[in-house]
Amino acid sequence: MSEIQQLRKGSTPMLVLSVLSTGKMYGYQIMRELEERSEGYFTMTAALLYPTLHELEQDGLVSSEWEDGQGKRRRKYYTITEEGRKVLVSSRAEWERFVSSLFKTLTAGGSYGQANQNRPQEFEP
Amino acid sequence: MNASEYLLDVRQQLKGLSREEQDDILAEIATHFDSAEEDPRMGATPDERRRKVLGEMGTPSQMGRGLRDVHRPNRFIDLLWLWIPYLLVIPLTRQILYAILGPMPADANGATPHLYLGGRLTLLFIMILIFVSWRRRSAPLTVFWLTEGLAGTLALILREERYIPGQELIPNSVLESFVLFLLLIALAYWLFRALRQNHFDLLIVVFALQPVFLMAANIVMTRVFLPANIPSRPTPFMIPAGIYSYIFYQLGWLLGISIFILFKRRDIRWFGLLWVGLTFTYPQVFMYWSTFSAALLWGAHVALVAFAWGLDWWERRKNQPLVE
Repeated sequence: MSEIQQLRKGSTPMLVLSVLSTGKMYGYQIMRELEERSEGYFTMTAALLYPTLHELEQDGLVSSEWEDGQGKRRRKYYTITEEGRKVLVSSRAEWERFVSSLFKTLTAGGSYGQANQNRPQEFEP
Repeated sequence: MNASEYLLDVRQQLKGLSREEQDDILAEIATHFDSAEEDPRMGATPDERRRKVLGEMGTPSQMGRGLRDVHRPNRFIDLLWLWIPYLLVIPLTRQILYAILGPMPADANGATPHLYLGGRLTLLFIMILIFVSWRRRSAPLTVFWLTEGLAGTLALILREERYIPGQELIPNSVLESFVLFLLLIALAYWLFRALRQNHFDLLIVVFALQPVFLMAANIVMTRVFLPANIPSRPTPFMIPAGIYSYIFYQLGWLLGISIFILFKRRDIRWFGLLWVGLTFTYPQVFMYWSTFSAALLWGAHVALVAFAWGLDWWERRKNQPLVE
């Protein structure tokens, strides 16, 4: 699994909480909503989504209830809890710090890097 | 593969979870398929939608693994929640309590109020352990401590109401009897719900009722046989039973329950229950009762578990799909 894939997988609980912070939804709806919001970047399999939802529920960050949906079809709706909202706020801040630090590091051309660029190559890479 | 086959595969992956949990999970995944088939964004034709949704489900084993990791608590941790309280916390706390209370007057049978206070303390611990097991979402551990709580409560009520001989020093409080009776009903109802959630699976039913059955049989046998049958001299079984009493009675019993909790294969779990019957009753009955009454209880218990195991095996064999 590439680093980016690992990062994407690691961010799944926060993304799901983020989607649920706008209202209660069922599994399939969460998946589509996530896809639309990220313009197709965050696509996940149901095999990743449902265990994540169930884990979030066990941790008390979301709650679930079977309800009659459209066309009288019963669906399991998930709602973010107060605890879930708190966790979302703190993990969002953490991710913002992480992403901005990552970009700063990636785009900064420090003196060490410049000095290294000017050094003669001793070995072929 | 179609949706039904996918769901069937996932169910295979979820073996070990309770039937109710399995049904709930599969119902949710089934609605995922339904939602996708109704969604025009998934394709122009139903076939196209079905293909697309199957493509984004992940494999049944990925789904099963992910859900199992979430739903099945670590069985080794379950064992610790069984062994540590049973071997260390409860006996030690009881001993400390007895030490604090000091010597107490005993009746002609050697019973003291200690016995009753110890029973209350154990029951309190069991209540905490039921709560912990329930929070851990561990079905075997919850059922185990529920039945222990049920047997403990029943024992306290029976002692309080003087159904057990040799317990005359126990204080008789109407309020406590009432509270214990309410607790008994609550625990029995909780246990019944747990069994219903597991579709009254014979293996779970026997596991759940074993301690209660042992206790009830113990009381009946004591009342029926004890006055006339206390051996005045060692029976041929007393010496070996005395030597191996601890190994059989405590460790043998814990080993049987541990086998049940640790393993997934039904036959191994049945063996665990049979082992409980063999080891738990053997030293007790052969030490205190006549050979006949002891053999009766021991044999009855072992025979009942063996019968249930056979019935379960036959049922599974009958439902096994024929291989062409």
